[in-house]
Amino acid sequence: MPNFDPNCTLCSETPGFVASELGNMVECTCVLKNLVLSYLTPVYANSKYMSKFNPVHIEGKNVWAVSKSSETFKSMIKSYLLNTGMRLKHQTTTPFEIINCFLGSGNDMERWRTDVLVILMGSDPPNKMYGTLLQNLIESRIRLGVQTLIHTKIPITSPGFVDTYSKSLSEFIRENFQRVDA
Amino acid sequence: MNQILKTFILSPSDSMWLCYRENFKRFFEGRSPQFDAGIELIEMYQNRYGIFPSMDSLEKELTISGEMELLSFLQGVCSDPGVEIYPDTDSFVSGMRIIQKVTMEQDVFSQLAGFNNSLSAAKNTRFETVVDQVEGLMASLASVRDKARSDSQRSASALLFGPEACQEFRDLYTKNENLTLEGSGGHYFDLGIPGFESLQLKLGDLVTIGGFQSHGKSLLLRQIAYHLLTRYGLNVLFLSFEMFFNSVLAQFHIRHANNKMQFPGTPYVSYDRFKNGVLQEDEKNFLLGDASSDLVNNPNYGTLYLEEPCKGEYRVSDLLDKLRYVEDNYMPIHVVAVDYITLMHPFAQGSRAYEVRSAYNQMIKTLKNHALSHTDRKGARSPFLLISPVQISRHGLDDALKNDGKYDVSAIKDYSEIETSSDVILTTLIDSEMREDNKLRVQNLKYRDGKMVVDPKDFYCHFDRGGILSTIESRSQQDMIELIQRLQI
Repeated sequence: MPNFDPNCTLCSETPGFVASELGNMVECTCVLKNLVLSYLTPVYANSKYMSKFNPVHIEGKNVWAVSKSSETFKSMIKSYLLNTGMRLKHQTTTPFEIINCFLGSGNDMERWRTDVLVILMGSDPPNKMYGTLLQNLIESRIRLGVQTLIHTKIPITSPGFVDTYSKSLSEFIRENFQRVDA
Repeated sequence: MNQILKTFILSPSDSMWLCYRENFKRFFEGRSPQFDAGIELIEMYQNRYGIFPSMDSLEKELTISGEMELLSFLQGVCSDPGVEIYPDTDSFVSGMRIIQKVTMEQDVFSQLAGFNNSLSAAKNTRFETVVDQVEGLMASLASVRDKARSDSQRSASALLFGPEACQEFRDLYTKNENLTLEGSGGHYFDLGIPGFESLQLKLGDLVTIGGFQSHGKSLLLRQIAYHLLTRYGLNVLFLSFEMFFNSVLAQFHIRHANNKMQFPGTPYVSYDRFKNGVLQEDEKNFLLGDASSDLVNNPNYGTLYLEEPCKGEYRVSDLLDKLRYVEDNYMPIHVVAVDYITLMHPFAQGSRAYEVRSAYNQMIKTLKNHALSHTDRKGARSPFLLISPVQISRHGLDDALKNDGKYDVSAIKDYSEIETSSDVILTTLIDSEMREDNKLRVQNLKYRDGKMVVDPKDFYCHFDRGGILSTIESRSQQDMIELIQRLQI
């Protein structure tokens, strides 16, 4: 185990980094904490961390969860990302943001090519393009072997979901995603 | 790609634009809508007013047309200090060539990875389905190839080679003619391996790296070559008989991209992810944009010339011919790195010798003599540093393992000339325990000019970072998780 540096620049005025060809090695808790928070992004920084969460439950799987509040889901994502040693690059978005991006810059699927893409659904204004675009995006991610995690505030079979996101997307999620409780 | 946009907005050149516009426009078309839109805008401005637009005029133009997203993209590119401006045609051409080449490799890797995934994910495993998928893969690879080919026919600055492309390279390398060793702080060079600083090399020396197969000899060779290239600005001729040209080049680029003393605060570029074609945008941009171009254009570095031996029986005479060719046409060579020497054909053309071992010894002696007595194209004495791994037999390895993992100089007794001619002998060793920990042991067995480094030293091998040897361990995933769990985030 690496030693924590008692002389961290954030704790006192002595430099706490070890400069090396491999980069600035993190050797104290406060520097590491900043690194972790920056990795998590503000989306997950304040969510509850479950240190005992076993990432095997969702590792490598396409998963969807439904609950009125996304807090438990975010907590699960945070725990998953941390308990896999911060090796997975992640991005969290909404269908509305994906549509905006698509309309703004064309079919730029590269932007969403991350190890873990989290899509928070249920608060988007209706748009007829959601179904085709999201299905297309998720299919391309499945082909690449990268993981997509979806949270919906309403059940995917409910009229509200179908009206907003289309019936085909609802069926697509049911067929290709594994449901978890969150 | 952003370097190209920034160059034509902030430091445009008519000749660069006229000669290469079609080339980069067509090659990069469809990869980034914002890049395409930026180039189209510059082109439109050029056609309309006959001059390049300044950032101010672009701002007005885009504000009027309401294209605020494109405007903010261009502003971001132009204000980003990390995006380089190509100051002259040489750096533009070489930068663009590198970007194109690696982009094409990425395309190929992506196609292969996509094919692999779709094949493994396919539920329907009918013969016809697989054939269809293979057809699809071949078509997509053909389109990658055609794109590169059609570009090369239009302009010499594209991916491939031809007389004009060679001339461009020649012009670029002419600059290296004036490179002297005075600026490097003298004529002695260290190996760049922590703990071995007292071993000082000079031109004309022969450095051999002994080791059993897959014990990190080539990795150490690349580490030393990279160090001499970047620390001392020496020009290196690198021959690999074991690895494909592109793999060696990629290793050097990724090695450089992961040199965080050179590029602090930049993303790590994983060699595995590169191989699988799954680098993310920021990693790809950094590797293709900043790191690769720095390795090519940084005036403080020497030039790496990778020679791909394209014939079965590559002899010393072929090596010397190539050396002469490069020196006559491109640049003086200071270091010749051969991976590895005993894979060269030991018999001279038409020779009737049958004693293999003595032929190898003779070959090593000849190479050492050439390293010492080499002359440049003007006839002045210009020795070069010769570095090569040599294979140690299983018997030698077994002896070392019985001796606490320490080699004896008798381990390289298969070729006695190595012991006699070498100025520095190093060995590498990885036993089964070290392999699990990604460790490698370096030992010094001979140093002609001074005191040997007696004790072997262990290093961590960061294979995924282009083979960096370091005294610092990468934190394992389990360590990282344990640390995080203590943080109470």
